[in-house]
Amino acid sequence: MERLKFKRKKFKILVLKIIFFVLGRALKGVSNFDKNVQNNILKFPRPFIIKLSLESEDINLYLKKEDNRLKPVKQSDYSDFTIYFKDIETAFKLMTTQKRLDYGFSENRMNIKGDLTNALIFTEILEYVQTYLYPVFIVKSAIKKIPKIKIVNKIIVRIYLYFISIPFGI
Amino acid sequence: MKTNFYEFNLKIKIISGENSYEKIPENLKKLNSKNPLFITDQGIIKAGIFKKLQSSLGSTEIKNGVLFSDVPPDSSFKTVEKIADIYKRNNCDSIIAIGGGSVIDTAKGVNILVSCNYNSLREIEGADMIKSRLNPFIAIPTTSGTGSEITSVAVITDDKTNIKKAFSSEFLLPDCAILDPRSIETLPDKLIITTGLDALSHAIESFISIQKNPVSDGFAVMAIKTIVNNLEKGLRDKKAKFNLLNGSLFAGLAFSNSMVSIVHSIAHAIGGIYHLHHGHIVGLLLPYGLEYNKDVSKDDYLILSDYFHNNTANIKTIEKADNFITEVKNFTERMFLKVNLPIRLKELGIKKDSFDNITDKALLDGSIIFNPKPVYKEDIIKILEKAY
Ligand SMILES: [Fe+2]
Repeated sequence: MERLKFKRKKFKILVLKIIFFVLGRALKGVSNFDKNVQNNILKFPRPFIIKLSLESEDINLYLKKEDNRLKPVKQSDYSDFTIYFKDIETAFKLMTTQKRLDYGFSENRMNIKGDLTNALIFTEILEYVQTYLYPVFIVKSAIKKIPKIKIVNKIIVRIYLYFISIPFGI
Repeated sequence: MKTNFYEFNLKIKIISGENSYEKIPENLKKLNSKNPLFITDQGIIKAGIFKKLQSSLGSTEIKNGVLFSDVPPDSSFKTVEKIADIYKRNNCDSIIAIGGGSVIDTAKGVNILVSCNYNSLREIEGADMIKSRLNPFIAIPTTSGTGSEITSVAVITDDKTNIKKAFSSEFLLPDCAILDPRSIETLPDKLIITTGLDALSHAIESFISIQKNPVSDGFAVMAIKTIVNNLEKGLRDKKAKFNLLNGSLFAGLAFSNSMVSIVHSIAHAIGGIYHLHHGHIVGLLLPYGLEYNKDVSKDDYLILSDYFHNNTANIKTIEKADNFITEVKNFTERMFLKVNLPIRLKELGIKKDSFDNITDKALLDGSIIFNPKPVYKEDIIKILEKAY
């Protein structure tokens, strides 16, 4: 007989923590600029706290709705709406645009706690954020419904995200 | 397959055919229950269907049972809580639901409350939030459309907000689905057509969804074949009527595992505003939804066109996906006209100035995720205009 132990994936855990951190700041940055994203945020009830979670490793991202903005918060005792990733590989792939979000749902890789319509609103917001963050050739395969954004706006917001929002959290 | 992964849940025992009711005691025993709560509505009582079920259980090992027969057409959290209370007070140990989608969905909600010790469904809202097996549950469908007896989803209205909430979990699946010809004998013609077209849409939409897989495809094809060959006959022929009950179950198996798409997203949105019959809107929108997805789903349409002929047409002449859409449109319209139901949205009293509202709601409907093609606001407006 042999007792088995399953190793923690330390590298992916670290990367996922960084991605959650970057995503929180990017969401805040985009919601400062983009009208469509702001309109989507307004569709959430208020007050509203969203949680993205990989429960098995206790990696969480909390986002708080403030008017038509979303901003990351360090901790929260509760959440109104939670997306639980069922495994670290999926969380990793979804968050690094290696897997399309709709396939995350169709492959039953996430648990949703709360009103399911919020999952659709949040998906659309994420699609905007990913479009601002990544170049077209990545976005094309990573996003089902590519948002229609003017190129000039995309470039301005992208520069803002990379040089101001993400490093300084503004 | 649209992805290289799939899940398919085959947990339910299906019992189908003459004297299927008589199989209930044996299966209750296997499930270790002796005191079932029967859940139904007044329509089933008045049609005499419940009486037939009750008499079929005479002289068997079931000696006791409790009946709740007042499920309203649009069931709510309050109804579910009330029935859960009856279950607990009478020490019931299982649920037998006999009725249409609303009755069976209500029973699923009751089963959550009585098995997991929640006081309200609000505490467990979401997808995949139920963590353990529920109590024994037998479902007996009396309409040939929703497929609720075989799906892992329940839709119940929250009375506080008046919004329909969806619960999805594999634990919502019944242990047995009982298809007995006695359940469907008195189904009115209009309902046969509307629920049948709803089931047809479940099958076709699951066949094109992003969650489609080889197993669900098999059931979808069986459903389409059965419904196309029996829907018209079902208006007069008992055997055909029962075949439709099976067709609806096959479609349920397909879409419970592969989901539906744009047709249902728009139909749910319209249903939320106008309270029209779900199957009627679905059947009416189906060809237009297919038209919208044509460029990405044409290979699927080509396969399905083989099953869309009552063995009378020369299949070889069907070469293009276009013909499939036309076939579906001719079929749905012919069926509606058979029972004098309108075939345009306009005739249903839908106002053009509500298109905006319908579109916003459709884009937030869960099934839109599974549509094979991305859907933008203007796309839905175009579909609505074509169907108007
Ligand atoms: Fe349906």
